[in-house]
Amino acid sequence: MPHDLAPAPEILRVENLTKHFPIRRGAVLQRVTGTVKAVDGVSFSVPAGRTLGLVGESGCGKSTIGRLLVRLIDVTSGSIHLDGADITHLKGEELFRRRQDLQFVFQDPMSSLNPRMRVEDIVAEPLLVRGTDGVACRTRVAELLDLVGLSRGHARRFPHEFSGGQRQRIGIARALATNPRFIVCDEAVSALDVSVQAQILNLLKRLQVDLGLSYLFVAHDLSVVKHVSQEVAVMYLGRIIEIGDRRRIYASPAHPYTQALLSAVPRVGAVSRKGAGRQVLAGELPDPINPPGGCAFHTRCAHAMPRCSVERPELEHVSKGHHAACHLVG
Amino acid sequence: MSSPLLSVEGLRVAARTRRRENLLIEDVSFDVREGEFLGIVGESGSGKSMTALSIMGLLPGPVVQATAGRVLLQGRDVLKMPDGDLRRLRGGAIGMIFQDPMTSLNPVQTIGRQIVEVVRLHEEISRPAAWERAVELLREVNIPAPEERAQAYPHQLSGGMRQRVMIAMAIACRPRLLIADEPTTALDVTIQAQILELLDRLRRERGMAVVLITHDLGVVSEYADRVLVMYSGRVVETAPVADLFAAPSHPYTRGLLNSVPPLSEEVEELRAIEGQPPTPGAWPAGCRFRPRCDESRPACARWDVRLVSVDPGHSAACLLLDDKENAHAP
Amino acid sequence: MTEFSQALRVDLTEDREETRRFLVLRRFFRSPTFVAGFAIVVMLVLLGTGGVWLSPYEATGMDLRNRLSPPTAQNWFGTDNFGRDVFTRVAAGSQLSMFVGLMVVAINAVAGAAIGALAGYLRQLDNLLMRVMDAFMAFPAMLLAIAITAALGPSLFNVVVALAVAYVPKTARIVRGTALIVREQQYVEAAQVAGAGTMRILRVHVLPNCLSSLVVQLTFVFASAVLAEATLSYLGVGLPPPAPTWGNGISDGREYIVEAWWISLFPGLAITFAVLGFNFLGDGLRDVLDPHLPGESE
Repeated sequence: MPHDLAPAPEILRVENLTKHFPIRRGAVLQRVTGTVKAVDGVSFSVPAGRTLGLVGESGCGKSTIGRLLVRLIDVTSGSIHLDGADITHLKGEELFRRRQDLQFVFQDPMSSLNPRMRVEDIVAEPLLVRGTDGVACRTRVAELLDLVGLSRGHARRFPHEFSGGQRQRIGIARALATNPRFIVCDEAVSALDVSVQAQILNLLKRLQVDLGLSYLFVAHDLSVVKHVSQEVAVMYLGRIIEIGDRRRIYASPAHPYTQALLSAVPRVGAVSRKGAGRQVLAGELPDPINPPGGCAFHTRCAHAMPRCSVERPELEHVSKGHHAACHLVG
Repeated sequence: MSSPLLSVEGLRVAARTRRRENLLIEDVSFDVREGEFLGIVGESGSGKSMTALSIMGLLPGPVVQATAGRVLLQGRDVLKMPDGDLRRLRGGAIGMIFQDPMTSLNPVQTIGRQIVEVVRLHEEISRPAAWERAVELLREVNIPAPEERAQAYPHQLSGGMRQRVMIAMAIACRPRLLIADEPTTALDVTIQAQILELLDRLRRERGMAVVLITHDLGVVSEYADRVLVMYSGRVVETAPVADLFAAPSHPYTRGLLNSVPPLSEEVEELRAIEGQPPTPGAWPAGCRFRPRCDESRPACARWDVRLVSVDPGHSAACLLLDDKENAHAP
Repeated sequence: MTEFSQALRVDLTEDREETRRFLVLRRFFRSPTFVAGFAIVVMLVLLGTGGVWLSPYEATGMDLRNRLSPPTAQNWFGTDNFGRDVFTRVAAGSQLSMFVGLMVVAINAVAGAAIGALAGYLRQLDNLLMRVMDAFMAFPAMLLAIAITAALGPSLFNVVVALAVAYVPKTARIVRGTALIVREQQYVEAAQVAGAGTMRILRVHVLPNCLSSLVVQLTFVFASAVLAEATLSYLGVGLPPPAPTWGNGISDGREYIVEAWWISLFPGLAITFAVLGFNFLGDGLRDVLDPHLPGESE
């Protein structure tokens, strides 16, 4: 796949990543009656210390990619390299060791913290399972709570005593416990109130600079993704249809889907626009079990040509560091 | 000016537990004119949903009750209506739609049948005629092939289609007022655009007023004529939409606007509001925004702030504005 | 309706940790069904321990001169056809019933939780374990217990084994149901990312969060076990006479039901109260432990 990204050394490289979920019928025999290609041949890389934003609508496979990267689910085919090492099929002890470099921040601040554990036990879990002793754990937890803007006094409390934003800070502290180098943020701010969301975004950005973290930031909110990412990938039905430098993508989106997506976002300050000048995308997401042939977007695309329903476009060079998968490009 | 369609005066809603009374909203007053698009914005706990429930007479009594104020719809107080009148009112003069259409639809009945039920609840009309009407309504909300879709069960429809069905049901009896509580929060951005467009078109065609409750400033900015900003159970600012975004007068409104990452400009760090929105009932004395406000003064803790007029139709509840007004007073 | 639940939640969040436990306890005692159940169970325990200790009679001590005596000041519940004091036998029976109930509950707690959590969390085992449990559940619990005691012979140990086998499948199924919900929670995924192994996830994350539904189920198991033990005794496949079980008591009085109703009535009442008490306790616990109540979660 052609890529001419920034020269910064890359920490994560994903090649031709594919995840097919079988659809099973029947209680006992569980025959496989079809597959959903949740992720279908996705390639990208993340430079060290940078953020790749992954946007798309529900069902496009962006969350599946996040889970594949931290190996919460198994890859169907393709490869994942972290820091040059192939982690695609790591198991057991090796996976366990690699996981300290690779962490995850979850979407739901309610269900991502065990309601029966104290904050210190939640944050220390990655350390406890690695045999860190109690005193060292407690010192580290205090340090981590400071780092994410909570007080040490919070360590002995239970999750339900906290607001959504504070819970998300606890989740971030847990993800930082093992000093990871790469963090997947899966819709990490989408469940939060606007004012709190801004705090968490600032926190994530600050941590990135201070600790040299790299992020894969999965979200559906285009303005949030723009704010945190240096590079952005747009997904539609399991494939990346546009990827590249954030500024370029937001200023001059090349793919009709990206254009429609950007135009659909209601803008603060666009007073009483009432959708004027908006490209309202017709129709809905096609059935992922039977995706349309050719370009998956052609059923909703205003510029669709006969060729689009037959031939699937590959990612083509648009400008430096900007690629799009559309027959109109190139 | 003719009398408003809906007039909320000094509304106060409280939750009574055994030990104490927790205020949920206090001293909320506003008007909705015929055909107006009013946006109510606020974060969780701001009381925006409680306000909507009060208007529809749907407060979860006996625990939660309106303890003061009036909600006048076409001159009649909703809070004092007997249950029978309330039922006729809902789905009659007031239509409503909620965030999650799945829970509002009966999963074992076709959507056509459910619309028929609603129509026949409010009008003396034969079943076949009501069915015709249901199909007509589905067509009006842009559901493709309405004759066939009327036979579908809710689970056979996508989230966006279900929300359209809810809208069809809500407008079945030609309401004068449609209350939409976070109608697009669960939907993808391209579908959200379709639904908002639809709501606005119905408002124009039917001359019905819309009260849209949302946390999304962008949505309000693009569609609303007038905006009500709520914080901690109170209205902190109300203004025509252009004034609000051009000259936000309450520090909270300004903070909220700064919290949204802009799509069109570059911002390195968001000017987030510090702290968390207070829990209902645990509100600070004086101005409720004071603990998070970077312009607060000692006096803010002492006085309850009232809405003061900034410009015609634009008022905000902030002591800083009060001072100015006093300065102008003779 | 988050605002509503938040409003009620304030009550708990404002209070500090020391008072938290107290508040949880107080919530229990605000539930009238829990209080009623708790009171009945305490009374039965007092009857079992205090009654036997207070009574001047032996549970198996016969007094042939004083047969079939109606309730008197000396024999509060009367005497049976061997002149044994019915009150003492009911009290001693309470000990036996409680013991059987406790043992069955203990086995259910361990085996039911283990099987249920394993099946719910490890989907590979689910089909196998649950089909086995289904096979057991296909028999009526009572018939299964009768078959087992009939095969193993009537003894205290065998009764406990039989009842445990009869009730474990249901407990396992309920724990599995909760475990299925818990395994979808993001904190379980978070633990996987943290590097926690399967056993740790089961022990630290899955089991503690299945606890409330397990506890509720166990109170119902206790009630059923008491009833089933009495039934087994009555049918002659439980503890053999002269053991003073409630079932034996009812069985003894069967032939004299017209002239000496008290022989059967008092053990029968004891069974009724025991079953009622534990069912109340379970209902009350279910109300209080309901995860949708404010304070637990939102």
